[in-house]
Amino acid sequence: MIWYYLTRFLVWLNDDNSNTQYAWGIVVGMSLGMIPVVTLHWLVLFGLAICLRINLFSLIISWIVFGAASPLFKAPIQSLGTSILSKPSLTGTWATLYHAPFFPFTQFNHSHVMGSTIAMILLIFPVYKISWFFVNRYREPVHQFWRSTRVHRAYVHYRRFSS
Amino acid sequence: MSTTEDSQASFPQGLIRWRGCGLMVVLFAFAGVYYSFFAENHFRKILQESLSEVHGAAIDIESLKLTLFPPVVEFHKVEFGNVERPNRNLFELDKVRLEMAFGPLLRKKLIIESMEASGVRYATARSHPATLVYEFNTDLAPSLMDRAATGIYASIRNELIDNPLRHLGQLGTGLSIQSTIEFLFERLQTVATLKELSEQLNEKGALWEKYRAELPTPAVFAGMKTRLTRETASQKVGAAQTEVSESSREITERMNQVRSELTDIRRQVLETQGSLGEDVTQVRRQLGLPRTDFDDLTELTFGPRWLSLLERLSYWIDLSRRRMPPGTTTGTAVISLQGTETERSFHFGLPGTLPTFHLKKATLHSEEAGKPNGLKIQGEVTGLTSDPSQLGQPLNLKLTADYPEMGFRDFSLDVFIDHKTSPPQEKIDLKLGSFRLTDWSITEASDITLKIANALTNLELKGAFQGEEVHLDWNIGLSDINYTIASRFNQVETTLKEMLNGMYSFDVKGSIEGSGADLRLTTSSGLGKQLAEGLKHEFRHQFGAIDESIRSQLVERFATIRDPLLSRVREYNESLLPQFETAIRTLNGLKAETIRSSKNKDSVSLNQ
Repeated sequence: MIWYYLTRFLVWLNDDNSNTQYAWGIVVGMSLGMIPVVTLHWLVLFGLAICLRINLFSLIISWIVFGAASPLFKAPIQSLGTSILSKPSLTGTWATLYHAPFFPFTQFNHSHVMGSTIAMILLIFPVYKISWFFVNRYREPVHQFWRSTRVHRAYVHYRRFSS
Repeated sequence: MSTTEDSQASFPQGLIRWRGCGLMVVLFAFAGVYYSFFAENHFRKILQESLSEVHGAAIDIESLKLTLFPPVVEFHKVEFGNVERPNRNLFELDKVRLEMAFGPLLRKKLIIESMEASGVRYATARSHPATLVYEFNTDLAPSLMDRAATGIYASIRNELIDNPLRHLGQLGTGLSIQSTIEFLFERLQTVATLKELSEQLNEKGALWEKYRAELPTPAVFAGMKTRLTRETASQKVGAAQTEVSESSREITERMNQVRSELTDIRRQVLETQGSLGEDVTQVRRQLGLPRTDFDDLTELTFGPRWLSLLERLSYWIDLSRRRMPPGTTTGTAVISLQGTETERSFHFGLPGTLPTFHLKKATLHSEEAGKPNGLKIQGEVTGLTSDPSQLGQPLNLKLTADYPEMGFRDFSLDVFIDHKTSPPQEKIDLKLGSFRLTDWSITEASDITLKIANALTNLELKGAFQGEEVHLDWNIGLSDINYTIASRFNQVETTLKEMLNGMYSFDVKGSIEGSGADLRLTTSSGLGKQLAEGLKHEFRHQFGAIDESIRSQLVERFATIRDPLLSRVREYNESLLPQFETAIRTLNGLKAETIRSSKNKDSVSLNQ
């Protein structure tokens, strides 16, 4: 029984299943994994992830993978953030944003937040393109494999007899 | 998973997942429920943990009331634990009310328009110990207890050797001088020197023996004589005479060398008696006996306490510098940095804007005098901010208090912190008109306890910190003093009581000046001088007898190495040098005979 509901849940996660939706799911998952949690733009991204039709399964997998990998890149990300925040030509901009309403809640003045946000923005386009390419190429073989598993066959069999 | 046909559509059912929006509404509803029922408790716990880590002991808040419109926070019954007495509070506040400005909250700025605290009580009992069990946050400055262990002010710490009063008890125990000397023997200065001289004598002795073996034998002398006679007969000055001269010169040189080296070694052996004093000191130290050559014991008895107080004061100064850092002005903004080297947060101050945190004015007012543990206290703090260079105001704290029940009167504290520019500056002026000092330990060891049981005290402390520079002066006046003196050894106890008889009042002055590794502690007191005098005079005979015993045992023990060495030197003097002298005399005799013979020949030929 528990396997049935688990499989139903996995199927529901994959309801939005176009290549574009998969790719955006990976991109948003990457963003959620890289940006620290207690920031305004993270909360906005989380809201968008729930309210927009993007693939939730790929979002969750991507979130886990990038969330696990981000501590490995902590030092270069913090260096990037520090260098951007300490650029003299941008001081005026940062100072204006620092005193603007709501913007300080993004915590952009922290080196780690700034570095990870910039890194995330730079990676959006390449990650989307690469994800779309791989999803388009390998979804059919992966789908065939999934259909050949015992779990899926048991699920289909159960649905046929229970409906 | 779906088939390939489904993949052709990009967003077939529209962009918005309406069920997701419904989920967001549910989440917002949960947030509302959380705020209504749980936020205050959660916030209270977070605040307790953070403040406790800064304070170094538990801070407990009984209840907290939080409203957003208007933004007001009220705390009830806030207890500040005492680091040194965990079962008691340092002080307790009945009520604290903070009024914040709402607009700046949207800009993530906490501007506290006013803060009022009332109902102050001192040293109240706690329901649970104030010892912290949290994991420390490494982003914060270390707590008071950690700070004391970091080893700052090493220059002063290294000067504070052990308090000699702690070792007076050694006089009452049986001292095993002989076994201590045996234990230390190889490491004593005199022994090391004597052993070195002995090795030197061995090396040189081998060389001298070689010289002795090279001295001409009687057969050689006979040969020289024959050759000289032949030369004289032929009336020619030749190789034989040269040989005699050279030989004589060489032997003379060697003899002088041996004599000088023997004299030098003998002199060095005799000079080792001069290092006897150092060896006696070393043995005394090993026995645990104190030095008695101090003029004032104040630094050794009170020094560790002053250092501990200085470290606590430094902790708060360091915390203020980390949390209220001086800024750096660029063309457009003042930037101040917080955090570690790797993970930093930048704070951008613009002229005319608000800092991230600013407590405009805090007042402390309590008229609890007369109630149990109640304090009469008035105080005001202005200019507390996270960005002092942006605000452009220093922090001022003024506090006055009275606690008549405990004899605590005329307390005033004035603190000035100016971090507008670098280097940061702090000033403190603390006065306490009178308070009852009780159970103040001067020395507490297993053998001896010396405490001030109670005394009427007044205190003045002035301090100025600028960058790394420290200037701190204090004066503590004590009167109506009763001492607690206890020792396992009757003699020590009686002597100490006699020493302090009549010492009913004294002042303790001190100062710490300098910066970094050049900090200097200077402190003096009537008590310290009296104790130093007492050590020298009252225990003079006992220490003198012990010194004499150590000295005589060392002399006896050293003689077992020194005497054989001297007798070897004497032996060389008596056996080796005469042989050289004999050889020289023989050679000189040969030369003289040669001269006589040639003169006789000349006179005979003249007569003819």
